[in-house]
Amino acid sequence: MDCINKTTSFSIQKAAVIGAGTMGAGIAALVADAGIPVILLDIVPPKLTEEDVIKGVDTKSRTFRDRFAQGGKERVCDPKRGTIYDPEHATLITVGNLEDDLELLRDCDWVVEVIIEDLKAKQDLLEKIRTYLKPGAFISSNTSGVSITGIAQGLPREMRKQFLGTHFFNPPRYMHLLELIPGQETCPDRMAFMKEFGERVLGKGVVVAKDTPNFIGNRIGVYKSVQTFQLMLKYGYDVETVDYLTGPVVGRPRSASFGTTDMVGLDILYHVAGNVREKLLEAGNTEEASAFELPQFIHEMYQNRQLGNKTKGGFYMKASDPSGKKVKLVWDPERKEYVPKKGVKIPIVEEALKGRNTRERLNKLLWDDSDAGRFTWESTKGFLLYSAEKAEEIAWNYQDIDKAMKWGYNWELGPFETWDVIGVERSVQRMRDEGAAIPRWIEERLGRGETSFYNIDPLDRRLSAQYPTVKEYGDSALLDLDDGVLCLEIRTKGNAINESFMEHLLDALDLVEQTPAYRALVLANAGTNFLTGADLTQFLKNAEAGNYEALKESPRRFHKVSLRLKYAQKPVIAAVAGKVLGGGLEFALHCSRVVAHAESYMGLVEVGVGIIPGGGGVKEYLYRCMEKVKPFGFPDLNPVVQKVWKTIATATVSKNAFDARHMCFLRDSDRIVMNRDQLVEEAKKEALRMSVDGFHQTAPKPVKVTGISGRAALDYMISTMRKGNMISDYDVEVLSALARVVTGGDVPKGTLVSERELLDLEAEGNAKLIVTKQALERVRAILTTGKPLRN
Amino acid sequence: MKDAVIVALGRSAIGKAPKGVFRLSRPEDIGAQVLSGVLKQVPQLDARHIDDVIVGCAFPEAEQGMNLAKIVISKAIPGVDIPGQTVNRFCSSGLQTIATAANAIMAGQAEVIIAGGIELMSTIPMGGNIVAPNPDLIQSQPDAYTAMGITAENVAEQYGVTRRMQDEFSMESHRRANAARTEGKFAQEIIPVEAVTTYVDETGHTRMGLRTVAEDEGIRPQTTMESLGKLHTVFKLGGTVTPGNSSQTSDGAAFVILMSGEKAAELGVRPIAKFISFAVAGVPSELMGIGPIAAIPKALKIAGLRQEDMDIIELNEAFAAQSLACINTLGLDQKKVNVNGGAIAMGHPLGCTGSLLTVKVIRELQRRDGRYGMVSMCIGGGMGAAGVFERLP
Repeated sequence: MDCINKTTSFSIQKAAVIGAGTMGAGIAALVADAGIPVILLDIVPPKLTEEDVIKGVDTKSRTFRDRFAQGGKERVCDPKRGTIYDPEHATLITVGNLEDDLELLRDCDWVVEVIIEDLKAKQDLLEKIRTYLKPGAFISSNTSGVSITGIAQGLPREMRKQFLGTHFFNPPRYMHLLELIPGQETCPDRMAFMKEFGERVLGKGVVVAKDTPNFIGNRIGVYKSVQTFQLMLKYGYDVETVDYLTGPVVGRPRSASFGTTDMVGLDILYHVAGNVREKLLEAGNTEEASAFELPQFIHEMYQNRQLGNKTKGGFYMKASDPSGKKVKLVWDPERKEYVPKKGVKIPIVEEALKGRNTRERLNKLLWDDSDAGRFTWESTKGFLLYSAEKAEEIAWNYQDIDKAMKWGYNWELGPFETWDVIGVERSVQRMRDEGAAIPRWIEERLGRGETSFYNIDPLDRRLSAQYPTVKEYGDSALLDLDDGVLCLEIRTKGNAINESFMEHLLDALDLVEQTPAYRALVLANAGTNFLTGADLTQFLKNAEAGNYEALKESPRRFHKVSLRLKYAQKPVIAAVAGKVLGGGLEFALHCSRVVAHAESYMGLVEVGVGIIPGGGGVKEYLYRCMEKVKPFGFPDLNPVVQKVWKTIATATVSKNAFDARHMCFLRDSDRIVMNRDQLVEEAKKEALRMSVDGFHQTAPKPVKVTGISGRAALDYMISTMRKGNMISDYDVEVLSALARVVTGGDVPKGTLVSERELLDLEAEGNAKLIVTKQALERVRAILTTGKPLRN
Repeated sequence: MKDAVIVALGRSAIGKAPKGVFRLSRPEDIGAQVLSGVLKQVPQLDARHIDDVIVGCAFPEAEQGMNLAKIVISKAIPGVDIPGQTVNRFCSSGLQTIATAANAIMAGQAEVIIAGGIELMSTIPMGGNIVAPNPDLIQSQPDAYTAMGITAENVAEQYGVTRRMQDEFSMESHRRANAARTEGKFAQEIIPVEAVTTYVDETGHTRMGLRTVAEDEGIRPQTTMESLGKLHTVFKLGGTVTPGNSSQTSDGAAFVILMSGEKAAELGVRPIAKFISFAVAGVPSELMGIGPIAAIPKALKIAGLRQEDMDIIELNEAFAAQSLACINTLGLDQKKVNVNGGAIAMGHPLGCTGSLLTVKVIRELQRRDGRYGMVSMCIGGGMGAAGVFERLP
């Protein structure tokens, strides 16, 4: 094979997506979000619509010719749908059609086709575009089932090395998995480049799959689905019970089996299952093919177009009862009608659900000698054995199968991880006892005394499983990321900031600053969320005990931490992802730099519990926004101050990290990382960069405020909202206190005030609010109902 | 005292704000075109004889700043040194300018004055670019700054105006305005103006162009009670005032030429109407919508006329709630009030409105051979204004 180029010499500066359906447009949006210009092409519509005729649109117009691509772009760029991270990235997507715009492909480094799942159609398309492609460009097909080598046959020999399969999961922004499938002649260097590109630039979890029917994720996933349908009939369970047994109790999403199918669409499952079955039959593998045989009721549902959420009814359906109350109905395959959800409860499952983690829950249920237990055992056994049998055929290693199932199906554990969790020896013994054939490589492993697939606990997602611990604090731990960078891993309950965590954070800062070998500190949380705010249980305890002095003092402790972060002598990097709320954002705002995963939801949400941000957040956010406009010397700062006030007053949370940047929660110097798995390493790189560039402690500086004049404008808004019954009397107190801080207190417009003064204003404002019964009630409501209370 | 007579009058079409036909145009440009159009109606008038130009504007800042009147003169009548003043009494500014002009003429201090109003709310929003209330007052008398929508809710509550009554009134406003437009009535008062547009040329560059605007934009003949009923209240939760039963935010300009009776005779210009009286009156700012209840009797008393003497009344429809409160309290005859629809259908370009309604009332008096007509409106901050005109045969 002739691969002259080395990995490093490849680059993708511009891409093209052909086919602007849900997946194609979604890929285009993802590529644009990664900052890469992308051409989105689709066919010219077959004919004019009636509306076209009325409006005088003719077949020569771009309105008509680019309609499909334009429609796809509009769908993904609509801020209301939130498919694209940043609607401003829409300018990176250029639309066109396959008749007029093939020239646009000439400078694209990667062209991916996402047209219908049909070998001939895909080959024809490649034949049509191939003479327009840039020499050496990457060419890929996005397919869940068509053979990559098969498609490549349609290309001239020298182009086959440029060609590969790129299988994104829908929706590409949210589903982490990207399967890359080399054809027989694909250049390995190119595969390596695409893997890195997929991971680093597009932020996906990349698994390289072999060119077998449905590749990895859908081969195992669909097997599991069909097997579940078959077991359902065997055990006489209804839809609801199956989802009850195949959801969180076994480490799978709440939508479980049927709910997930409704989301994806039964037609997708139908075609994917049909595809494997057909391929297997072609290969003469009738026995395996039968495992993909869908039961009769699924065929009926498919014929009736009960495809799920897209057809307003699948296994579940949302409806209203005669009184207009919303109810959820579920399909009864026997009666062939929708019936009300009844709410299944089985004692052993309820008991299992009390387990602290999936290990406890799954083991409790799986080994139980009840129908529910046997169902769980049988379904687990089936898919473990199938995964083991297929491992070598479909993947380069078994770990990739685990990754594919976690990333592509949102399972907590892949099959081999599941096996570790339930005990390999014990479960294999039971399988043998039940007469199952155990794949040889499994037996061989056991023969060698390898009784688990992994050396680490697959349920331990903590960073300490990857990095050595320097100091163990309990609800946090100081880890060594190497090269002199330490990481404080946050593990507090509910990702909340409690008193002991703050002490440990200060201790970690002391250690890093005082130890010459240490260069920087990273704050990170390996869980879903960075930090969701102050620990409200502590707050509630103090409030209920009437411990007002402690309540009034607490903001001062937050201030202390924030100021230590801001004025640290070595760089402190916040590596954030998921929810970064309240005090969590206040701390992040004070760090030297933030490295944020694209899926970061940032907001100062304290008004929800009847107080204002108390950890220097109001002050720092005001600084941020003022710094942004300072170079332009605007005479009127009111719009800026009003924006700051409004963002906090309405507890606005960013839709993602790009949105957070628009909201000024992130600075231009802060970084956005597309891949969650790379967050800590990227934060470390950033820390080293800052350290090498010559980090020095920030110097305090004053800020220009709008004073009493600015506050009057805010008070006017508050009074109007109160008169309009939009806010309560207590809201008036909270919002007025906030207004006083953001405008700098009782000073004339244009006064320079110090950071200290603003922090005092914050503390004064909160001292009054934090002891009120309304704040107490709001905190109690959040803790008991999880919903904000308006009082 | 001399007579002050109106010899020419006209208005632009009323555009929607902030996204209507005038959104890309400058207020001075639209105003200057209307002023030129009105001047053309009196070819006998030598521009050098114009003593003053008075322009009403509720938010005279930025594009509407720098003494808007003087800028408009420079654009409309270049090369002639004419003085100009800009007047602000919020929503009655355009009536105030006519009264001020008439008073100067009646007192013998001027012979010819052009008065009118300009407001492009697309350019300067309600409240101006910067809202900066007085810090002491906002604490001691927060009602001094009551938002307009809240005053409408207050009036609706105190005067028992229901949501249904407001919606029916609004529906009727659209119906009447649409009928008047269909009959071509507005074409008799509208001076077509050129508005700025943009388009993308064949090289992909954005270019500016012009289009002629000669039709009001806000009238919705398709409005039904059902469509009005679906709208949510925006000023008060659980209130009754919606965007559908409030006046529209708008862009527009209107002017009249006033001169003394002697000057008209000297130039051989036929007077159209005579200014009779004008009055303003204060009301609580949180109930500003009832302003006409105080102002109308005052203006009638000065004129020595009774309500029944009025053939036509243009009562600005700031909100259906306050319009109905005024109509019901004063016992105004709905058959005479806003016969061609009002601001709910056509829009309320703040500082222009007084002049716009004067144009409308005089043209309608001409059409029905009426004698007396009245213009009245409520004013933000807590005022009402009313003016009486007499059509001259």
